[in-house]
Amino acid sequence: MSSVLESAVSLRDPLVSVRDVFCVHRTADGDAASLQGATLDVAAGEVVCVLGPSGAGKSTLLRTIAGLQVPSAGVVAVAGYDIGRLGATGRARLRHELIGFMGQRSEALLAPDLPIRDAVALPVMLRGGSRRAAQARARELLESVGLGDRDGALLSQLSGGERQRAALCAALAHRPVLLLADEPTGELDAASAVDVRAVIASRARAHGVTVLLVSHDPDSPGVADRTVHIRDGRLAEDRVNGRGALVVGRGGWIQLPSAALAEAGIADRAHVEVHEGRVVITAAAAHAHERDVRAAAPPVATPTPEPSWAPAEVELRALSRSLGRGPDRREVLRALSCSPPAGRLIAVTGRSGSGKSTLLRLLAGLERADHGDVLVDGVSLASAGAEARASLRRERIGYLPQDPAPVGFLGVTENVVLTLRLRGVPPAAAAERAAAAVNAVGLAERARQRVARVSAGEAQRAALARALAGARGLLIVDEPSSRLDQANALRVADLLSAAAAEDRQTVICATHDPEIVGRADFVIELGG
Amino acid sequence: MRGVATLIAARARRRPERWLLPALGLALTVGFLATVLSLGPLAGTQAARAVLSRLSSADQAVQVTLQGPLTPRARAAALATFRSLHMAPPASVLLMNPVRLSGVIVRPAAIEPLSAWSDHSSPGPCQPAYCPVLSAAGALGRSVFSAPGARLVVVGRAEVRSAAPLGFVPGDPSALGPSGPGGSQPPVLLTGDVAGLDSIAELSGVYRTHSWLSVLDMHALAGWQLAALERRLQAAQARLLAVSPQFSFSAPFAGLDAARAQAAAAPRRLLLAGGGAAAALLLFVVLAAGGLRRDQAAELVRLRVAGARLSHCLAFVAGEASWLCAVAVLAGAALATGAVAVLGSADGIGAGAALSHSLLTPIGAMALAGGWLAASALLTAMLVVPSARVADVLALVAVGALALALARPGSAGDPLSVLLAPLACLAAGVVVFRATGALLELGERMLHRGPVLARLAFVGLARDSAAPALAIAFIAVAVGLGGFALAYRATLVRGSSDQAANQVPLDALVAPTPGFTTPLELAPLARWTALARGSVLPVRRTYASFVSGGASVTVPALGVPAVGLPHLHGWRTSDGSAPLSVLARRLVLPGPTRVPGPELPPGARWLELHVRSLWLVVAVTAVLRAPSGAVTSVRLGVGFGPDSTVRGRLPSGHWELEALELTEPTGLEITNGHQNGENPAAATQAALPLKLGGMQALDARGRPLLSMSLSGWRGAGAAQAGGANPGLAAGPYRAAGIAPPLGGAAGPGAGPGADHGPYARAPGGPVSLGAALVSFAETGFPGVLRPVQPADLVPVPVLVDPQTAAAAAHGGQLQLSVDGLPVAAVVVGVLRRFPTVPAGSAGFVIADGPTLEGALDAQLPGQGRPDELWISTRDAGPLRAALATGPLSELTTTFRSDIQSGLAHAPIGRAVLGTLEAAAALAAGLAIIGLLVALSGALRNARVEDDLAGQGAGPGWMRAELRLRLSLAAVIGVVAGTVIALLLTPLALSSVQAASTLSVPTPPLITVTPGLALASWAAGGIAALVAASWVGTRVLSGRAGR
Repeated sequence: MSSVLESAVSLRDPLVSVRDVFCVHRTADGDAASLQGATLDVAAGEVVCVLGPSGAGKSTLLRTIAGLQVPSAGVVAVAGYDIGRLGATGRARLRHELIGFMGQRSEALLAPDLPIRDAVALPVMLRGGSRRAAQARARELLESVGLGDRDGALLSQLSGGERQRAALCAALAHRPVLLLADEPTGELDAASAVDVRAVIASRARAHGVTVLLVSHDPDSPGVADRTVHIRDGRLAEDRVNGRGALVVGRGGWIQLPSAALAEAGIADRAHVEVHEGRVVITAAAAHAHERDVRAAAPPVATPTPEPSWAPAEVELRALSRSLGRGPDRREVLRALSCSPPAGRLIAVTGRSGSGKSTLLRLLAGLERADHGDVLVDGVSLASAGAEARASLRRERIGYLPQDPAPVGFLGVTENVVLTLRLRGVPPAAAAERAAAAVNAVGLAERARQRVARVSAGEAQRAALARALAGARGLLIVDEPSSRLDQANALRVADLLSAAAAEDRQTVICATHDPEIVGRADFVIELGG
Repeated sequence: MRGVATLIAARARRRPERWLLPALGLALTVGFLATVLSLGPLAGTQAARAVLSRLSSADQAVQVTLQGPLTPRARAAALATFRSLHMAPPASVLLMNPVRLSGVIVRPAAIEPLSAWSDHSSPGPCQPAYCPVLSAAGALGRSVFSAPGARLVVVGRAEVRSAAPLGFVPGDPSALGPSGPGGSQPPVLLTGDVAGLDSIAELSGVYRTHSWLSVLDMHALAGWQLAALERRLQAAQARLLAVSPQFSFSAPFAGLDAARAQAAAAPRRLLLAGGGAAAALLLFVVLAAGGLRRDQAAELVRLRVAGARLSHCLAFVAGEASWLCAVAVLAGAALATGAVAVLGSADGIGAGAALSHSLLTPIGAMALAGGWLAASALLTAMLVVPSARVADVLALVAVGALALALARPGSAGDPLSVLLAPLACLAAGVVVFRATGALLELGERMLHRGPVLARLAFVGLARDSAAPALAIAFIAVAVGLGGFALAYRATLVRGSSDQAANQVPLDALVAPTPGFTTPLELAPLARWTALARGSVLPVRRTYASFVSGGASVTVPALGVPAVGLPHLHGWRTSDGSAPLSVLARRLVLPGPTRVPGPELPPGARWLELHVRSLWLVVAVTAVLRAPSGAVTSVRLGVGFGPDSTVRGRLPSGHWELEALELTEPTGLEITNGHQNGENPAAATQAALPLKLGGMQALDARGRPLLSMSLSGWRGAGAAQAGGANPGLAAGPYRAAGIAPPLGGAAGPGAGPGADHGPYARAPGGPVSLGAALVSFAETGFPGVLRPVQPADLVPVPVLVDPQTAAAAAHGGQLQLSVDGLPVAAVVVGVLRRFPTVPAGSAGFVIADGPTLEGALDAQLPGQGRPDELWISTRDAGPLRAALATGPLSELTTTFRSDIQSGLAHAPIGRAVLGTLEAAAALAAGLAIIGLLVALSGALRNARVEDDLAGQGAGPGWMRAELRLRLSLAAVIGVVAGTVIALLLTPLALSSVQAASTLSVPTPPLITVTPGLALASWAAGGIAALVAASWVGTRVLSGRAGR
């Protein structure tokens, strides 16, 4: 391969070409599809912001373009080179000569054993730069993001925001032609986010760097030439200069906004008519077979028909919590007080890093607050011991963590049974309740399948079934739809609503998903 | 690569503790292997020294001998030979042939310096007129030995300590003399002045040899010095012979060859055993390095994201592995250096010598460099190559190695057997590793409705089974290796015990002196019994011949008291056709084994016999037996004519008249014997009748005390006479269906007038009564007339080997010739082997000692006397003490415990066992560390832990679950290891044999499964691991307890 850099400079349009790309993650725990026909062109020097819900495939798109992951199908071309056809050596050389990559987690980018200036200088040295020149470059970049006085610190001595800024410096150190940045402002406060965005924009403009920026941050599109929305692994919308357009994929795939579908009353089927040059889409009746299936399927309901418990009363009293130690210490919750209504769906929202998961862990008694207290049915978790809090979880709480770890070699139902057995439920009753919960999350057909063999979304639903079956008045769920497609996200939203309304559960859900937020009876917004 | 180097340096500097475990494992492995490699020469030296220590001082001497006159040139050449060998100045020896001085045959000799070889210094210069000498062979009866021009004056006595200078030890009865062992040597007159003695002109005509000798300091030789020494000796020999063909050169070539073979074998054996064990220990390195895999993989991801090329990534992985391995290898080498220095010093070889011939050599350095490269490659491959693929390849190798190992347990003598067992152990560990994941999942499913805590423990292990499987596999390997070491030890001990028992069936074996004096001749059985504080079995050891297929087969024949057979050590049920106690009972005759002759009254001083021999002059000898069993002969005289009387004086004491021996007078005997030897059908043979009767015991005054009837006596050998024994006829032999032709019974007498049974006649009775008619054949051999003995009536029951049994006639009848005497035998059992029978014998015949003694004595009185004693003792101390001093010290004594100890402590076998035990101990220690390290990783897996906590598991649950998880892993690992050990037990046999110096031990080794030891080892392993788990959990579960 001749110099990629020279080729890239000579190619003006497009620098990145993604054509109908599918990407399946093959892991020890099973396969899961993330990109499902994504198509995108990025011109040289263009700054593109990629938006979309969690699990939509944004990060996979960036990793695929960076050559860190090979597409399962389709073509990803960078500077004219087909990533899928390049070997590991070729992809490494492409990154070496062309790409700066900033992943979602700064810990995965910067060597924890190097001082920041060396960690930032490392990409330069890997490209043959002298140590002195590399460190000079590192100091220059660190100065530009306000870390000039901390260049001797180790990664562990930096705050989350500082780490992200250092990671951005490392990604820019070797003057890449293409910068791929995944949530560069996710852990930053508003002011820092503005600074980082400014650095990216200025580098892009000054040096003609092509930027692909993935973000949840609503302000990120402000620095971009173009914004694309990705959902369910496909590009759904492309917006330039404030004007958006739906993307028409190969074969005529168009993804309509769920709000528009809901407003038009379109559920599973639609009629499409072309009328005077316009396409008109209207709701259609479900297919006969589908009707039969839906009739046969049990209604979405809570696992147990007649709950014997009362919804949990939850109260937050001046709750404060900091994470990290020393210079890294960061206060994620400060004097948070509220009394969400019992037996309702409560949504916890806020940007990434605002403390949503921390709050849920405090509610579940998995962590203790620095100050303040959490009362569940009047019982103070601050004064309860670890055993008492664990006992409370067994007796009252169903909990779905953000990153659940169901047992891969057990079936879906078996995982639920195991949780119920842990709570002292007899084997027969546990099996019955587990079956009901698995059915409720729509995994009846996969009930006996090993969790390792199901997709990531299905595994998340299996974990949700576990939480639903185990809840006795308090259901705590963290981003339950982050890995789900739109339909299943809707189903989960329905389940959570029903759990609160019919199953006498107090449901507390941390989420970015507007569907769930929209159905919430009470919203706790963090970081606002 | 500068960036990669910076990163590697920073990682090494910031968190060195992350490398601790793999570095520890690797350092211990390298240290262990290097120690084993270095111990090879040490063990070889010990083995060589064990061989050399068995050489006598004479066998250790380098000697140059000159036949003929001594010239200055010859002397210079001889002395130069020793200088070239870097040996001390040799002793000079002059040995003359025997010469008659003053009418006495003496042997002048000179040794210079005399004090080096005797207990006396030189008596002074030797001049022809006065040559002071020392007597080296006891009292001579005179002190001056002279001839014209030579006067040797004995001025004292000296004892020569070794046979080295003269070729014999003067005065030693076992020394080969003119008439063989024990024959007389002319007394040696010894001076310390070689030149003086040599210059006595009067003796110049006496043939002499000059020799120079010096003893090699064999005890200081190391194994690696033997070959060079042997080369130097050979070169010196060649140079010397080139100077003059009259020189001869002797050196301990054979001993050095044997020692060198031992020294060369030891490193190979140890390398095989230690190499295999080290391969098993490498599993720990894999285990510990596996813990680093996640950390290194994360760093690799960071590098890739930062734009590193593949070469950068490879350099990073290889660089980290290289420095880690370099440090570990150096640490291991330091450990080994210390160990070898200590062991070398302890063995007397010296730390410097031991190190300079093991580690501190170019080969040692290359081996360490090779180890560093191999370990670096292994750690690099672990990160670069998918672990599952590596494990699959290892599993294939494992299955192959196991199949090979189990298919060839009987490949005795194959040195690869030593390597195969540890390798198979390692291979089995890989199989365990691959099987553990499925096993854990199966366990979880079997507990579907069981206790949830147990289910969770299985889930915890199986959820991410790689680390637990590796830990379990390592435990299995450690336990398996330990179990194999136990089996090896048990087989070694059993083999040593069996070999020792094969040489000494009870606790001690006392054999005759070199001069063939038997133990019972030196001390009566009662004294031996008192010394032994146990039982003493008198054993007759001789040879028997029988005809098989037209050829005469000669085999060892042993007469062992049947009562002692069940007490033989090392007897295996498979050795005989029936249990030894049953066979012992079959050997015993239903009645007495010997019928005694008449007991002579205490006052008897003469024995008188009337002989009627009209055609033959016959010499009559009475054979007497003392109560102790000692046999003596009293010549009564020569009888000829119609009415001759022979009489002999009895020795004092109590005697039984066992038999009368008839021989031809000496001249005729010689003539007949000579002619018969040339032609058995010679005309000189004739069988002529005799009449013997009127046998009386007389007192000192010639008055008869006892008259004895010979009418029932039977002839044997050259004598033919029919007889009957009424006692036997009425006894058990008739009851057994055996009809004796004649009868007679023994009757002990206590004195004059006592009842002497059928032999007794009234004192002063007719002398013609009770006469025996004998037909005596002139064959040159004696004829025996004695009471009818059981051997005349029933065959001697014998146990024989299968080949001998096949030669027996129908009913097991076997006609033997024992010591040339005919003995009818019947085979009553078959044995595959019998202790003390030399290996390579064509077979063997075992009879009850008293029965065989009786049968032999019946043919030739005294011929059945026991040769040796098999002694069983509860306390060997007094026996050892008694055998170490006085006349008993001349006997050849062997203690079973000494042989067993010698065999069990054979340097090579002991070193291999030590290697295996050290490897097992090391592996067991590392297994505990590995278990904690591997499984405590699950505690740090926040995702799994949090998930479990989120489902309601409290700290108590978590702690209990973790402990149960660790205990489960320990139990599974130990059980798997025990199974591995049991599977590998058969290999212990071939391993012991491979490490042995004997290619085919006698008896053959058998597989020993040390069930109790294995069970203890397994139980101890589980207990240690569980205890370590509980202690470790207390520390590690802090996080879970929050």
